[in-house]
Amino acid sequence: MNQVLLAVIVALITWYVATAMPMFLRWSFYLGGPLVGGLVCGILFGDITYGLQVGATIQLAYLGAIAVGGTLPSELAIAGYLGTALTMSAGLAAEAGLTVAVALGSLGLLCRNAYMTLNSIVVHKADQYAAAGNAKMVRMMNQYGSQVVPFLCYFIPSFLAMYLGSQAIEKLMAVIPAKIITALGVTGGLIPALGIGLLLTYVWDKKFLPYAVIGFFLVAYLNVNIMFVAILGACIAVLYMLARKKEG
Amino acid sequence: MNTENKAVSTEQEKRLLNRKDLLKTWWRWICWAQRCYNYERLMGLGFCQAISAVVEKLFSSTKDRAETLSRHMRFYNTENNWGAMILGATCALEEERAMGHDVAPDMIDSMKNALMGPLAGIGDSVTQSIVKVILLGISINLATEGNVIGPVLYIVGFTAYALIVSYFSFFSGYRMGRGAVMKLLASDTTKNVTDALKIVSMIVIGALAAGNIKVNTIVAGTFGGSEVVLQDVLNSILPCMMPLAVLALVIYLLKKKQKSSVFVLLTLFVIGFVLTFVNFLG
Repeated sequence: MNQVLLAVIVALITWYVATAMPMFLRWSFYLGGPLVGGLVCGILFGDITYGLQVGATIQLAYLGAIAVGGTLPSELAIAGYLGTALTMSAGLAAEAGLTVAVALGSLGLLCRNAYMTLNSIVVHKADQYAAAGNAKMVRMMNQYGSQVVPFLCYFIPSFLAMYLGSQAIEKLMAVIPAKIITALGVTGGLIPALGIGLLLTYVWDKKFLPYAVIGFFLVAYLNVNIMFVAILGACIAVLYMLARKKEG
Repeated sequence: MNTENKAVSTEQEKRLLNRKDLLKTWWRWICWAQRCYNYERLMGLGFCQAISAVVEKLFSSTKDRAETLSRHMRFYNTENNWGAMILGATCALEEERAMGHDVAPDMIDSMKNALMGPLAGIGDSVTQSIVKVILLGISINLATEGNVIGPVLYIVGFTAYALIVSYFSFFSGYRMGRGAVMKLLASDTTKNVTDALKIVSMIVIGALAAGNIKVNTIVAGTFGGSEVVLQDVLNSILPCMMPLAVLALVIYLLKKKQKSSVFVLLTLFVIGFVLTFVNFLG
């Protein structure tokens, strides 16, 4: 596909998912940005298996990415969609792509903070319409006024990164020593510990810690499927609730 | 059930809002609550857009509309799905006010403020650290194997969750009104259900840790004429020993040392690079 066109599509998707998409879809498309981004980019680049592997690997770093009070530890749309697209266009291994995406995700917080700050302007405009009792214009402000700043903040950097970055990364990869690429891959294997660690500290509850240990060793020893673990967990949860009910 | 019957019996007069108004309000909320997200008011404008149809229906004078719209423009933030209950209860209260009942505007405001925190607390932990994690756990597994069902399952599952929970939450908020919402939040059932969900979440997190943190040593040598691979030795003692150690380190840094996630990330980079260059990991 044409490089410019490809960069435009990736940048548009990144902006749309980050701020414009209806909220009930954003739970999956945004919080699962890398995973879904893997599918979207896989279709875009014509290699779904590769896309899914890159996306799923990047997603592991963000298992613990929880949005609380409007703040996020990283920009998931940029890490997920732009990150996966860049990784795929440079032909990197999934683990090496993870480190690229994590760096992008941190930089992406600049885009997010910029629009989260500047969108106050739109709110003040909406205040004036509200004070005039004009409900229609209040809606227009939320629908369309809200998208001016985010579009600039997400589309432009993503387009430039995609257009210039894919060639730059390819050139860079050609001159970088193999040892560094291995080290990037190794680090990519370590980063999921951060995502999982953040999640564990968020739901931390000493009396439930044994369940995490059960889950860990079920996979470590028996290498079972996560679906099996979830079903087992659901059964234990029901038993727990029944026992609690008996206690009164 | 009791509350519902009581609400019907004490309000013989006809309600002003019909199902269509309420559906429109719910739909705008789940679509656009965060469309103009910003640090100053967070979901303030989103809430105002959602309730604007109700305001137009209930109040015809520009003065009343202006007062009500401006009041709903204030700072507001909660979790979208479970927090829809507050929007439902707000619709009920504005309706009562329009019907001439004794509902002070300040009371509506203080209800929103009192409920948005607790519902965000419950909602965030259920949606993001339980439902999301279980769905992701299963989907990542499938996606790594190159199976398209992975992301598709995640999208369908999470979207269905958001639509169903917000729908029931919104309409039960509308029916129950203020008092019952408060009571529900404090009830034992709510706590038991959250606890049960936490168990599922914990076991899945543990499984994800073992399956996805990848640390392998490449150290190998010959001892007494036989080839010894360190990773095999470690595996025979305790499989996934090194991933567990890395996870323990991360939790220690985050929880005990209160380090930021950026600090932990940099630490992992340093560990990854140093141990690769001394030919320990690969």
